[in-house]
Amino acid sequence: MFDRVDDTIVAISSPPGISARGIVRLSGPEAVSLAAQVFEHATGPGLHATPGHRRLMGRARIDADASVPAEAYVFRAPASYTRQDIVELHLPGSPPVLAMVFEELTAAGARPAEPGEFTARAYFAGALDLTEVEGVAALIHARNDSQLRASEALLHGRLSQRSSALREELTDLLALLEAEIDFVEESIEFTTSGHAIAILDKVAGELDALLRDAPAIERLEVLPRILLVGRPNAGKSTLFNRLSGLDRAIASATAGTTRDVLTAPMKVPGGEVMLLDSAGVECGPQTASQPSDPTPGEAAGSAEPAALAAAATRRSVGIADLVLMVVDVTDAPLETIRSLRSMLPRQRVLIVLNKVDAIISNPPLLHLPDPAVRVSALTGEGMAALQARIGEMLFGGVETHGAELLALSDRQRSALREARHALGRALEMCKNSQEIKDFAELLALEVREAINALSLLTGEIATEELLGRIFSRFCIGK
Amino acid sequence: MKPAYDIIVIGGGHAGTEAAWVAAKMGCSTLLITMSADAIGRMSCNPAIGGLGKGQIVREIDALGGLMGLAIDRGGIQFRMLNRSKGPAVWAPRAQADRRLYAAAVQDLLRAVDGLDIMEGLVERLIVREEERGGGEQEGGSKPHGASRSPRLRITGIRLQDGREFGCKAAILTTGTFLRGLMHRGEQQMAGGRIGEPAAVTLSDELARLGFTLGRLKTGTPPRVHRDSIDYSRVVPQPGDDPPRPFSYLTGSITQRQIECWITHTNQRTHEVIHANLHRAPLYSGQIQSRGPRYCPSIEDKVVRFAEKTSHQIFLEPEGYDSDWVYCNGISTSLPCDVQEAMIHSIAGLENARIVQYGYAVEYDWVPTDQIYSTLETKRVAGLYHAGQINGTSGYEEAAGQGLMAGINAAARIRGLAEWSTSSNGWPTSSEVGSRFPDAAPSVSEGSSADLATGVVLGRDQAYIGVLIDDIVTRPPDEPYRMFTSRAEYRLHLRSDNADARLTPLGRRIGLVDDHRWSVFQHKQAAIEAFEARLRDLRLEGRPVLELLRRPEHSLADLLGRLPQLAGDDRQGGDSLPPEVLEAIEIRAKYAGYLEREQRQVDRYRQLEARTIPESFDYSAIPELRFEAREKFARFRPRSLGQAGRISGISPADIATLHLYLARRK
Repeated sequence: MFDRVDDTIVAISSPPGISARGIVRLSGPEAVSLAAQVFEHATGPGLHATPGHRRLMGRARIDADASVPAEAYVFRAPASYTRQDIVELHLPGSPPVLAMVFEELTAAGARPAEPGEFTARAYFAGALDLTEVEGVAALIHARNDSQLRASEALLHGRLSQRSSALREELTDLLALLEAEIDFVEESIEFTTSGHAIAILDKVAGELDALLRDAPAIERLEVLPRILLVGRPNAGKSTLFNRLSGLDRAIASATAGTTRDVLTAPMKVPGGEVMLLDSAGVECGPQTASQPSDPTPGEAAGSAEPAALAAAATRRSVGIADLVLMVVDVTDAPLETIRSLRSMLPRQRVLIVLNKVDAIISNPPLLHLPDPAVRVSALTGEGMAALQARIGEMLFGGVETHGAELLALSDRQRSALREARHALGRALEMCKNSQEIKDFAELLALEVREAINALSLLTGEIATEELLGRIFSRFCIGK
Repeated sequence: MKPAYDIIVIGGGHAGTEAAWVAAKMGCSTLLITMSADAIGRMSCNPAIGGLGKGQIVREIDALGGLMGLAIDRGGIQFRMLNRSKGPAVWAPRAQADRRLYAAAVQDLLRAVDGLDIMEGLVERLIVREEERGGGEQEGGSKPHGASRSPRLRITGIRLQDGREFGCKAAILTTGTFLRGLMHRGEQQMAGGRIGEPAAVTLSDELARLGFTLGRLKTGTPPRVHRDSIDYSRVVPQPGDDPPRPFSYLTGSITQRQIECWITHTNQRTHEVIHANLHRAPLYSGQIQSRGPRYCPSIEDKVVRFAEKTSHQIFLEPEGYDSDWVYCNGISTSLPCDVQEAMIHSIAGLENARIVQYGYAVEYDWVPTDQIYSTLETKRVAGLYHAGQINGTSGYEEAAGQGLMAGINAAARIRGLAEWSTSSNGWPTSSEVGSRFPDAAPSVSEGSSADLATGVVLGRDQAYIGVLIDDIVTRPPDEPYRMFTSRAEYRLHLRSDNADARLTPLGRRIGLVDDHRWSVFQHKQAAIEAFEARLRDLRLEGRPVLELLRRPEHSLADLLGRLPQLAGDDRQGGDSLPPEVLEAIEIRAKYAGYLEREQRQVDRYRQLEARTIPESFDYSAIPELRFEAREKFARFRPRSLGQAGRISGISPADIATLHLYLARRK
């Protein structure tokens, strides 16, 4: 939601992953002064004295005593995209470096931009023609989709699992604090200062750990996802190993060896991507309709390993940015493509015609529903073309698309830090007072703030949920 | 038909009386129709007003010039400030009432109002006509809002069962538990809204005929026992505060005698009796299907859901000085009479208690609140307002708060406009209201949504009443809705001590706050300002006293004790100032840092509230909106971007998309 247009926003505006150059962009009245706190002009008057449409060479500070070479592009209001002052810092394209500069800027007072916010500002300022509103809305809609995918990915990701557990603990604590305030006549002791300290200490410690690990986790979680899909023995695992340079998949000549989704990061022209390998997809609806939620006990007994793997694959399909449909050219390829495609109605697909080494004559296949590349995972033939094609499909021409995804994770990091600060204040409060009743309403304020901050990663908290927790645990009755 | 009255209020409960009071006070000729004039202001359930969140609502009603605070100050027989051991932001006044005195106070107060007629009767028909289209309804490319809806109706009068008809410009419907009311006690079912009072059956059909969707809710009440049959040696007395603190900002002190309540508990024997007879409880036999409140479960519900608890608290609350009835708060039940007897007699102190009225559950119709605007006017029928339990809420205070706002909105429109019309953005307008009251406060600290042009709507940052109404119009409740302080995001701002500062200027502006109340208010505010300024100048330990007061270790009383110059020569000194002035200063100082932080959230909230959405906005013209969002927006018709975001199931991306389209219209 773009509730403000008068503050200064910042985002990493280059595709996620490793690339030659990364961009951190600021827009708003403080853009120049905030950037000046990070950027040091090599020779010359510095950012403040620079008129618009200039490029300055210099260095950007990434922490107290380290800096990297940087270029600053200055656009002055109103002659800029957003009609506000804009500064772009062009930096070496390493995710940690970009993250550090971003953090310096948010610490200085810039607000992490919402997805689509630069475009929205341009629109609000009238820089985009009014007839373009549909286009902008469509863009947001598209981002909505990619956010949805990203959050779905997060849902199954470590960052989300860990922060959801923390949110749970905080919400339980908040419910107790609210009960302490609202149900004063029930003669129930809902919680004590000691209990609150224990919960707050634990959650604060885990947030610290999360903040420590977050850059590593989120870098991988925000990379565009490429899922390998194909029938058993189509050569997916061999392709996976060839593309990732790893030997993680157990490639075997026996069909159906891969039983879980494997992942590995990989470089392609234009950026970095995350490669996911799935178990072989047994084509046909009967597999897709098998029970997808076996209990852990059943899983351990591997009564239905194929069904388990199929469920994992289906989930991966939902979060993939691109599906590589791996097809054995020696085994009825057209029929396979048709049948696989019917299971992937909405996905972007690149067909990989594998095992071209195994056939002698190689006539082109006509009427394919998607772009296709011919390769041999075994010999490495066609691999460069495949990588180029992936890069083109994911990064070609859309410079800002990935940036919005990364911006989401920058905001997540800020959110974690905000939550941590609130908990710090809450703990201090607990340690300075004896009884919870002396400060229950203030403690509730801090805990609520922490939960609200985490809501970016875990979803909003509703009063109804709090009340539900109270009523399910305590007998409230006056 | 020709209007006989400006406003007709249907129902004489806590919503209806408040609505009639404000409508008449705001200069509208008003008729209150009730099935029984004796029952006006009757407390159907517990003999008490206030509580957490609820007490704040009563203070707000009073600050705006409403009725309830004045009535409970006359009828209260035990006053307590709840949560006194906690921070002042969550203090809440509560009072036991003498049921008879309270109703008498309401009736006396109403009788003294000019322009208010009271009549007995059963309303059978709502007379409507098709609404004429307003002038400025359309602009830009959006379709008329009627394109996908049937034409809006307008209320023009009502007809009673006896055939009499009365025309009106607006009607306020406050039906309580009477709409198709059905009482349950064991296997027994009785039609009626309260014991001995008939249900309103045809009115439900009437609402359905007009196109409203109706739902069904359930609530309950406990048995009452005779006071002479209680063994007081076996129960624990619970005294009130001394001195009692009044609800109304106008009441100097409470002079009537104060009484005690008592506490006792259920025990395992009680629970056995209930368990053995569960099959006879309408809740468990399937006789009752509708949803009751979780926060106030029946005793049978408590012993089933909390089987591990061997005892539940019961408050024995006298129903009045002269009443023989004692209300058993905490054991609401719909078990059959013989089981209620066995249950009551198992309880300490009640071994020989005589039940004078058995508990019962009541099911009633309500009108789900996606069908009303934030002004409480129905979307279907212009000029028809709903308030109280018809909107799915529970509680006297919640009902009164809505009655007050329905009355204000209906009256503001009638007083403000010669002709009905709609403003350029399609919302009902009453923009002339302000100019009708030229002596209004010069510096009204208005909340974001109190813009009279789109009705008088209190913000969530302004009042619990605002939170309440915004909650029900964005998320229609699925159980009777009760206020809790946890529902208010800006709880530190919405205190019971400052309801006047929050709302009295608005009450003045809309003509509800008379000269007396206004002058009391202004004196208090001036005293706070003056003494605060003085404490800023005075120094202790080289620091301004006001600054020292911010620290937890200092209280204002201690600091004043160390300032001898205030005691003697200076009449501004602590002793001569009313306690509520000192209290306000202390609270403001203690919460200063937190209030500033909360204020930043309030500012953010207001920005989104300020982005209003035209009532006629055509959501179907936004193809990028998800289907669910389009459908919800069209149904709820949020008045601002902020409110749109509070509708359940709406995502930030939906709001961003909507925001873009709204910006295009400017």
